[in-house]
Amino acid sequence: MTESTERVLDVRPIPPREKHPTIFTTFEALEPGEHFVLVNDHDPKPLRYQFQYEHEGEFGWEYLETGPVVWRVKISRSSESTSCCSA
Amino acid sequence: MLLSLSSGALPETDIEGLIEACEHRGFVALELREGDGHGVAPEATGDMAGSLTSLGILAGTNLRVAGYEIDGPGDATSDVRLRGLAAIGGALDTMLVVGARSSAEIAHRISMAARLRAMGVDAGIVVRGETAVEEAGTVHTAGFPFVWEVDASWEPVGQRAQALLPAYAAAMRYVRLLGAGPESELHTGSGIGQLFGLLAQGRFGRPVVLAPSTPAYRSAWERWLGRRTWGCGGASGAGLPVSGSRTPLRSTGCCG
Repeated sequence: MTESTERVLDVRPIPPREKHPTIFTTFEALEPGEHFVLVNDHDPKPLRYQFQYEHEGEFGWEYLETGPVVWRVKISRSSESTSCCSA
Repeated sequence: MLLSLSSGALPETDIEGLIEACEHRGFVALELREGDGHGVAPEATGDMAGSLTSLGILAGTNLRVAGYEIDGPGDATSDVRLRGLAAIGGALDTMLVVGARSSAEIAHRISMAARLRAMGVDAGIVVRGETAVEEAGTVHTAGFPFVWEVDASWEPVGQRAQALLPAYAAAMRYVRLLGAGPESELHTGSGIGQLFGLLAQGRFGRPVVLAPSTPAYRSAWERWLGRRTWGCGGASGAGLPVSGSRTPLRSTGCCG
């Protein structure tokens, strides 16, 4: 869109019930090998557990900043799919 | 995106207080509005002498200035005012924004921006409301960048974003989002998540400026930004909420 080379999703202003759906929609729009940077005001550990449950083996999780005010996590879509239905 | 704060959230706070508020929430840019308490104001002499203290403090931080919104037209056509405004644009190295507060008429806002540009100033125009997409098209055709002001307290933010961003995002310098922050819990369903998702997917790297939807929420914003403590007047601020999603808008009532 403008002036950025990577996707940054800052969820701090997003109402609670919209946060996780927005994050997963953004993740699902990624092509294999792509990533976005999630910005939050606390450690999004519960989100990581949800990713592990719903997208096991399909995502990467790397902390770029760990507080105390802002947490930044690079969430990537794995290059190699682990789909159960591949040949 | 660069999450940012408008001085309109703390209109009586000086520049140091605004900087502290940004640090408190991890914001990376400030939008300054003419007439707020930050101490940067146009001067008839155009030399910025009265604003030097605030400019110096601001320069000592890593904060960016998203833009400087000029107030109502006043005597906007006078050379004296234009000279003062041009000096601000140069001193802050930022865009002067002709706000919708200045005039409801988009043609008038464009005319004001054109006069500022003729003074060598980077000038943009606020578009907002139900006609935001149409206004963005008009402003874009006129060759100016714009600021999109969208109000989560009453607008279908997601729908507006879907209509505006694909066509005009490249000309959009920043978004001014009203009604987020400590108000966000009140406005669920407004599509703030959809807006931020679209901005992320479009790799939007410019500011998203948060501001109150109305002055009625001023005290909630002051608390959210660490300018006021909760409850019983304790000085430590230890009870301050760390997430807007958990921020009540009324007193916590512990003294009842």
